[in-house]
Amino acid sequence: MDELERIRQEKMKQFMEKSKGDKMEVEIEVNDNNFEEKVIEQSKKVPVVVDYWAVWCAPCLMLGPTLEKLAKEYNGKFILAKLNVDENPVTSQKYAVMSIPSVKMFKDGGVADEFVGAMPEPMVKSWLEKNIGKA
Amino acid sequence: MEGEVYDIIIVGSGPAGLTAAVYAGRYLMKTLVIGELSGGMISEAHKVCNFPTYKSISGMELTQKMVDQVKSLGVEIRNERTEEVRKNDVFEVKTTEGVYHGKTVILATGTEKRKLDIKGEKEFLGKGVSYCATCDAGFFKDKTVAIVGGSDAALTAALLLAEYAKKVYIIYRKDNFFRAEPAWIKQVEAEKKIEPVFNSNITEIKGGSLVESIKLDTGKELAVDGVFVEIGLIPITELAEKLDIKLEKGHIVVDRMQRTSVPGIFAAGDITNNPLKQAITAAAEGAIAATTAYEKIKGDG
Repeated sequence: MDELERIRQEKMKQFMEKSKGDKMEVEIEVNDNNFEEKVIEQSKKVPVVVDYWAVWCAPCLMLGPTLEKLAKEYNGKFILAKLNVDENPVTSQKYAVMSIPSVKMFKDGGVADEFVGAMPEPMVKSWLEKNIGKA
Repeated sequence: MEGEVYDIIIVGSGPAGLTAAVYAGRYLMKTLVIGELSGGMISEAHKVCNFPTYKSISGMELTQKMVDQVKSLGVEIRNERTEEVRKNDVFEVKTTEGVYHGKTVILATGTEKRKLDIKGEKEFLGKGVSYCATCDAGFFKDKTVAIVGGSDAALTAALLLAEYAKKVYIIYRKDNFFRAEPAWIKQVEAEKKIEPVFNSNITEIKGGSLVESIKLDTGKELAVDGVFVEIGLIPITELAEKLDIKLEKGHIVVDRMQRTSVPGIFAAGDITNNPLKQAITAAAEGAIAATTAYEKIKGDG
């Protein structure tokens, strides 16, 4: 009986490990070089929410964890892409980012919706629901 | 009642709330800090030069040091928005995430930035209009910007922007900067890129897809790429209003021990009716509020 239990647990552990490996990454870091592939191209398959941020921006540091938490809750219904504007001026300029935090929802290769400034979680949630439905 | 009861719940995590937390932590009170933005308004300050121990420190670094000190005392900080404080046997603090119970509450919710309320302000948010110079100064390299306001916050924003922009106007309704700290005024006067425009109010922000110009009530129109709004602060008193706490000109009335009109609730920082709104005085008020709360808890047994 103990033996069976041990095998069962071992199998379960292997299964958990495997499903962890299969799990899609819900949060990625993007930059000037891979923006086209990771955001524009990927948004043709799944919505990509880009968080334009910088280390010196206090409101960005407030909004960041909210977005990260919601990305986990949505579990793959959208991909959160973090873009550091300080290190990636080309993309920031291309999308006319002049105020951070700035959050843009990419769908089908283009910007579908956006907001500027830190918002509390319930407001971010309703913005996501408006654009892609519930988690 | 489910869950634990805190001795002190501090709502707000700026200098007032964080200092109250340091004191409460050292009084070995079971303490919880709930705040949306650690550091609050000071976290966005470019430079803080009047908080003793540092000749000059960024608001964000100062915040981080305060947060570290609070955490080192074992006090928990939750980044949540408080929606309501209710008075029952103990106080119930309802946030976006849950409900917390406390024997006493310190309100240190501070202020938010006043808006211009003019045409173009909302439309161009993120397209040239900004309320955070430290966040956005970097986007205005070699550009022309206008700062609206004449406070310390406006002048420091202008000095920061002068490091990036080619030209910085300060639009101010009065005919001098006497409201600001003389040390900042001196620096602004020495900076050639900065041009004060006195006796003027901004009436409209214009542009196409991005900001292109601003109109003033003097009839002047200035070509600018960015507008930074620093026209003052409004106390955040929603929580206090729901509790029927006595206010005066929008600020919470406190006595010298930081007591409000509701027993068990204390207030500290920019939200109170005290005369000076500075990080250092907010911190001092936080220290007093925590001490008064501690004395009350000891007294109540």
